[in-house]
This record gives sequence, structure tokens and C-alpha cells, in this order.
Amino acid sequence: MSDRLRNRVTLALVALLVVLVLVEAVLFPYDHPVFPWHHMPGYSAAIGLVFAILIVLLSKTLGAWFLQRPDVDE
Amino acid sequence: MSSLFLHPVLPFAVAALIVPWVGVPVRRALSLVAPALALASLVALPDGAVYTLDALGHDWVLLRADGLATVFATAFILYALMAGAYAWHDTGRGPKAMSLVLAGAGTGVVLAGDLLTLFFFWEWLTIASLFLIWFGNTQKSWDAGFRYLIFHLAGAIVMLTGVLMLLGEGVTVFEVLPTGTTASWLILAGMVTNAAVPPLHAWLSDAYPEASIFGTVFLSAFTTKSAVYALVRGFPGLELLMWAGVIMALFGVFYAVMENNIRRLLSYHIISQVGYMVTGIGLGTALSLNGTSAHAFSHIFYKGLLMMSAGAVIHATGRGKLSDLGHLAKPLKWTLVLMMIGAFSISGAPLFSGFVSKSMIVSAAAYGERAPVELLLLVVSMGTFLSVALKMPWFTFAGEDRGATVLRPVPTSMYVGMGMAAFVCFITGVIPGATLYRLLPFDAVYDPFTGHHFVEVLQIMTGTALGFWLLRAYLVGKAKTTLDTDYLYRRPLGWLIFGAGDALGAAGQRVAVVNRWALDSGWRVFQFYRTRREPSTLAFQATVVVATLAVIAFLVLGL
Repeated sequence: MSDRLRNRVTLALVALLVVLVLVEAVLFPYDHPVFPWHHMPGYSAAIGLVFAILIVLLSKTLGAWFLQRPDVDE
Repeated sequence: MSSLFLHPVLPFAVAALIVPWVGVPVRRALSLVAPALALASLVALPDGAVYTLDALGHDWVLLRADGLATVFATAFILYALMAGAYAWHDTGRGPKAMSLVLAGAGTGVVLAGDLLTLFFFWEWLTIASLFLIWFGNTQKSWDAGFRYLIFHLAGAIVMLTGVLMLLGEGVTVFEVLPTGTTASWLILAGMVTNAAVPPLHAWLSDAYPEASIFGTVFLSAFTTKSAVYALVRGFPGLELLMWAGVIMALFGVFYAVMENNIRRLLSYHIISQVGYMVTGIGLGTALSLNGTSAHAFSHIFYKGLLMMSAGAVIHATGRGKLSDLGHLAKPLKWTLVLMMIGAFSISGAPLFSGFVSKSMIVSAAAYGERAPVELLLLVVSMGTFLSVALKMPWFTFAGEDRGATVLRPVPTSMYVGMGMAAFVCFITGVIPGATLYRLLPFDAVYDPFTGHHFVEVLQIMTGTALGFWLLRAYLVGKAKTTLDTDYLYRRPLGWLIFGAGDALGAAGQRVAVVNRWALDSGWRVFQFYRTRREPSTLAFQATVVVATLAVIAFLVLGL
């Protein structure tokens, strides 16, 4: 896969995320807000992005530290 | 008497008894006819039908077809039909018989009205599952089966003790159980063992991937969801379950992100998704309990579909690890499409079943002002999409070419089974009001089709996709085994069986030698019957052993 294609995919995902946050802010705010973050457009996008990065890095770190061993089948 | 003859378990039981003695065409037909007849029986039952039997000094409530039982029974029976179609080419007498026993036992658990009938079917689930694991027919499946047996026997003894204590107090009917008593704690421990609540979960991710591809497809549906049913019935609103469910959901998804074996990855997602259901039980509102019932229904089909599509990949390529797969999108395009329907369903994507079921539990947490629960369940949604809809299909069908090729085509029957499950995932996601929601047992109003819900889910998915895209190099499958809590008991158990002799001197060493001889002999006998004798011999002996155990259990409990 070329660098150009990789960058285009990244840009497309970022653009889609921005559009979705705007759509939420303008057209579809939370119907029955209960918690403070329900009033913040884009909190779901933040959960998706931030925790995806966190869980990948955490699993990688813990795996390397002690949770993963060479495969017994190999 | 008409109710007894309409009992949906009967077609499964009769078919399981006939299957070992007939040829391949009849076996195949029975694997489809039995669930079809069971479904007809369930539909024909009047609302709230009950069948009781006064025998052996006990009031047996063999059938109680109320709303809660019906939603689970409908899912079990429909899924048995689809899995039967998928397993058309698995013609072995033993696997066919035991898959029917498993489906019948699951149906029996959810239709049981008293504690002893519940326990009776509960144990049949264990026995049938054990044989399906062993029918994986490898040394690993043999060992995993033994660990499964030890775990579930321990759970059964604990649960039976609690049941007998309640019977001693005059409680026989299975309804909401009193909390805070020794008996109820013991029963709860037995139930959460079958629900795979950490740290009592490792039997699932240890054993399910070791069964045959057809065996895993059956195993994925019945045991944990039967336990979910029992917890909804027995312990609704127990706050401990709410937190246990959240931990379970996070735990499963975290391990799935690390996992390399596709069937073990999906097994961890059973734990994670059952975590949502257990959380719903702990929340205890009408909406959350409906959410648990709806999500169990959805889960049975989308997880079945995912296990089926993973099985199709293994069947076609002979490989089941992400580190050995890749570049299969073209030759296995329909498998990819069907896997993605399952992946979108488990991720709660719009127009698929998880969208209309999972969100009920998350909304119930918000309406109940359980802020951490709502937030953590949203995080789990992210992890689910990351590992099942992005990581698994990407490294199976796209990614680097690791030499995986299609050695044999995926049979039409497998596509039929997957297609039927995919249809349910789609139709319940598009018109839940006319399908799934009509079955829900509790009185709660919920509309999943709001603009905000669409946008919220799409934001989580897009944000996760961006995170995956940026860090996908870190997620490349590596040939590694992930340590789980079974590590804590595998070695002590091995030491107890084989190594304790060293500490106990000559007499102890003889015990260790005998133990090793017994286990090795068991494996050799199993192999002998599997490979050199008429397969019906194994099925016959299995039937005799199981029937003997059942009769002994029945007599002991009854007397």
C-alpha cells in the first residue's frame, strides 16, 4: 500500500469524524441527557479514538511485559 | 397431558437417542427435523403453559413457558436449526447426538420451573459440551475437556449443595431467590461459573477453541446464555452482578485485542458480551432486564455467525491463527461478507441486531444514573469493534500475504447456516418491533432509532477505525500464547495429580504413576474407538455412560 493511499484513508477518517461531530452538534443532540458529557458533542468519537489507542498500547505493553509467551504450538 | 407431549425438549431427546443407530441421511435429517419440531411445539404451547409432575416425592415443574423462558427457548431452538444446517457435513454419530443433547439441555434449562429440573438439564449441558470438546479429537481437546469437566463438576457440586439447602427449607420453584443466605450464594456461584464471570471464566477460552469447528459452533450458544437466563430469573437487581458484568465485559475485550487464535478471540468476546448481559441483570430495571434478554437473543445468532465464519476459514485453509492468515478476501469473499454481518452486529452498528439490543443495557445504565457503568460499556463497544470488525477480518482477509491458500471450498451447507444466522442478525436490527421486541418479557418502552443513537454509534466506530488505522502495525498477529487465570491452576493441578508423589515418598509416587497411566489410557481408549472401531460404538458407549449417570443422579436426587 502506497504512502499516498495511507494518508488518504487517514484524512477520510478524520473528515468523517468531524462531519459526524458537527451532525451531532447541529442536528441530533442527546435526547435525554443525564450526565454532563451528554451535552458535549463528540464525546463518543473521543471515546472511540482515545480508548482505541489506549487499549492497543496497553495490551502491547502488558503482553510484552508478562501476559504473552511464545506460542506452545510453534 | 397434552403439555408434556408438546414439551420442546422431547424432539431433541428422541432424535439424540435415534441418531447413533441410523445412517448418514437420517442423521442429517434428524438434526434439522428435531429443532423444527421443537419450534412447532414451542409455538403451539399456550401462553404461560405449565406442566407439573408429582413423582419421587417431589413436585417437578418440567415446563414453564412464560415470557422470559420463551425468548431464550426461541433463540436456542432457532439457532439449533441453523447450526444443524451448518454442520450438515459433520456426519459423526457422536457429534450429531451430542449437539442435539446440548440444544435440548439448553432448552430444558430455560423451560424448567423448579430447581431440581433446572439442575438436571444444567448437568446435561455439561455432559454434552464435554463430549463435543472431546470430539475435537486432539490431545489438546482431550486435556481441555478434562479441565472443563473439573471446573464444571466443582460448579455443579456447589450449586447442588445450594439447591438441596433450599429444598430443605421447602423452596422448590425456581423464582427470584432470596439473597444473603448461604444457599443463594452457593447457587449464585454455580451460575456465574457457567456464565464465565472472571475469575471463573478460563474454562471457556481454554476449551471452546479446541472442539471441532462444528462443535464450537454449537458450544458458543447454550451454556453461557442458559446461565444468563438463570441469573435473570434468580438474581435480578443484585448490584454485585452489575460490577461483575462490567469487569467481565472489559476483561474479555482486552484479552480479545491481544489474542491471535481467531476462535479464542471470539471466545473472549463471548465473555465480554455476556458481561453486558450480567450488567443488565445487576441493574435490575425492566429496561435493563429486557436489554439482557434481547442481547442474549442477538448474541446467540451473531456469535454463532462469527464462529461459523471463523470455522469456514479454518475449514478452507486449515489455519486458524491471525499470524498464519491474510490475503483471503478474494477466494473467500462470501465468508468475509457474512463475517462482517456478524462483526457489525456484535459492534452494535446501525441496522444490525446489536444496535437494538446492546443499547438497551447502556441506556438503562444512563437512566439509572450509573455514570461509570455507561462510560465503561461504551469503551467496551469500542474494543469490540476494534478486535472483531477491524483486527480479525483485516488480518484474516487483507493484511500481509502469509501463504494461506484455499485448500478446499466452503461447502454450500456452511453458507446456508451462516446465511440463516445473518438473516436473523439483519432482520432483528431493521424491524425489532415486529420481531425481537415482541418476545421481550418485561414492561418497558425503548426506541433505538433516534438520530442521536445513530450518530453516537457511528462516531465510536469511526474514532475506533482511525485509532486502528494509525496503530494497526501493533496489532499484527504474533505466534504467542496469552496467559490467563487458568495458568494459576493448571500447574497446581498438574502438580497435585502427577507431582505430589515426590513430596509424599514412594507411596505417593505410585499414585502419580497410576494417575498418569489412567489419563493416558483414557486418551488411548478414546482414540481406539474414534479411529478403529465402528463410530456407533463410541456413540453407544457415550449414551450408556451418560444415561447411567443421569439415572443415578435422578434416583439420588429423587430419593
